[in-house]
Amino acid sequence: MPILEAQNMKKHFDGIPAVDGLSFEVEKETITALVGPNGAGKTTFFNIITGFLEPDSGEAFFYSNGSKRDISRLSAHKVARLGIARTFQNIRLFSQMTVLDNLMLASNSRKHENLSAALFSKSHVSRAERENLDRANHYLEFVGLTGKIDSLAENLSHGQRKLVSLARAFCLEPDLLLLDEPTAGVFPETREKIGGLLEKMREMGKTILFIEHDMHFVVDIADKIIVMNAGKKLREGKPEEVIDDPAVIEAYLGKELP
Amino acid sequence: MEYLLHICIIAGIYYILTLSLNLVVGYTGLPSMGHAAFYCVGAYTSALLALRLGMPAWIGLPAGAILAGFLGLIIGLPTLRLKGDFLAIATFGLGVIVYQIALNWVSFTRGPMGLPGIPGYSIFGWEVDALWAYLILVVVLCVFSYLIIRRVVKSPFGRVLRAVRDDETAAKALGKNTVNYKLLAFIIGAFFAGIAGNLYAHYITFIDPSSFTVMESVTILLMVILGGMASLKGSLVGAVVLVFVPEILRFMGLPSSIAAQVRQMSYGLILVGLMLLRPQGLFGKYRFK
Ligand SMILES: Nc1ncnc2c1ncn2[C@@H]1O[C@H](COP(=O)(O)OP(=O)(O)OP(=O)(O)O)[C@@H](O)[C@H]1O
Ligand SMILES: [Mg+2]
Repeated sequence: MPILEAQNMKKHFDGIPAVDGLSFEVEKETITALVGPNGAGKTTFFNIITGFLEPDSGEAFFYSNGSKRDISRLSAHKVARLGIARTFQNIRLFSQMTVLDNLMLASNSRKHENLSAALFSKSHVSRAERENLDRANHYLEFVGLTGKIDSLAENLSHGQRKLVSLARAFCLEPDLLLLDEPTAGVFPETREKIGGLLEKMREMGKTILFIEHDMHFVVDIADKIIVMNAGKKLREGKPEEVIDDPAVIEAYLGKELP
Repeated sequence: MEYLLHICIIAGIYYILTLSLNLVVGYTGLPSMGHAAFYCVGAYTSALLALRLGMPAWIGLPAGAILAGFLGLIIGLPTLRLKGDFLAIATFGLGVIVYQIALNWVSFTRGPMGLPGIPGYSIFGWEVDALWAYLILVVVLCVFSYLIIRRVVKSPFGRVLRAVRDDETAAKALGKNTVNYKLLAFIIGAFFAGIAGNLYAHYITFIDPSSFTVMESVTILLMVILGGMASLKGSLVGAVVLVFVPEILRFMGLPSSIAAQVRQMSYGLILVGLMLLRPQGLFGKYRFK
């Protein structure tokens, strides 16, 4: 059963193709890795799926609750509301807010965030806020940062920021998670921890599509790998099938692969 | 004593302006450079309603505030999609346009001749003409503005505003309709500036476009920055300090012929000193990046 299906996605920047006819499916409750050399178009593809860029052509379908929806031209906040959460390559925490506030903002229910709720409805707001707080605490514990709840996001280390950005995406309780290089630049221990978290999320019935450069990590946790090069899909398949493929090695220009 | 009451009234009016601009700039991160435009609309609406239609000031109060809020909506809709720098220029343009309308639509606003003889406040037949009475009125509206804006910024709604300020892209990824939030912050800010305009017009009883120049917008912004972005307490301090500083200068015997220039220079000095020593302002919780 697919949860996400991209069909012939294209996106050009000033006539230069960044994503060039990309098609693939992501199976429900799996971990799929999107890999490829720098500039392959991986982030651009994420930006299209999540509504931050409009594709020149092509469709993207999201399957949820037994229905199929074209999300390729939906604006970003609407995509998020359907149950697709994403993280960013450059993290993008709300830097001058606390970790708790960062997480409390990631809530599926939004009525309590209306202006009218602020002005008139106290009881509804406090009920929603209690639920938010519980969820924030839960996922902060999940990523092991309970002690940092009141820290300003900008005062965290790089690895901690990566973890908080994951917790923030988890707080949305989405069906599909798109993670743009969740382990880039973190220490090996943190990388291992993040791998464990992603596997637990899969056990809980979430689907994960993530971008990654570290092939060892990918082989360890991914059910499927999609290799991109120059905006196109180069190969797709089980990790062990894909990484020995000469075309894949070629795309990485002789970079060592495991 | 009279003089002190007068200064306190003016400081109260600026407090409402600073508070409302802080919601827009400090909490939501929108570089609004034309706040005096909404102040102007509030003042002229109320003054014209009083002079042309004989409406009392307390009707001009909501009327001016709503019209200012409406202008915020009209201006915000197209411009709030713009990124920071462009928004600053667009709101600056708004300030210039509203000023020019007040100056040049002579048949309606009397242009540079201004509107003299604006009646004062009378509430249920009681004339608010004593200075202390007007000060009480101003304080009541300051408290009202403070309570509403505090409620707004402390709520989950206000948390989304700060999220938009810190990273609009991330806020969108969490499902927030960020344009809506920016628009609402802008409208609320304009609404309260309209209230300040009403208080000013019915206090001074004479308004002309020179009270609503671009320099006026800059002064309000400076009060926000001095007191501190995203700090309600700071807004009070910023407004009070910048209203009192020129008065103290005058007290020290500065000839009035150069007072205006010295005042503007002292504002400039404060701004430069602040950026060097304490960029978040006296009580600020948010720094420019
Ligand atoms: N907003 C943009 N405007 C113009 N060109 C862009 C834009 N975003 C991406 N590009 C270009 O599109 C191409 C693909 O970029 P993209 O960020 O998708 O690569 P990537 O696969 O994520 O690379 P990396 O592994 O370095 O993150 C690059 O050549 C990049 O310069
Ligand atoms: Mg990328």
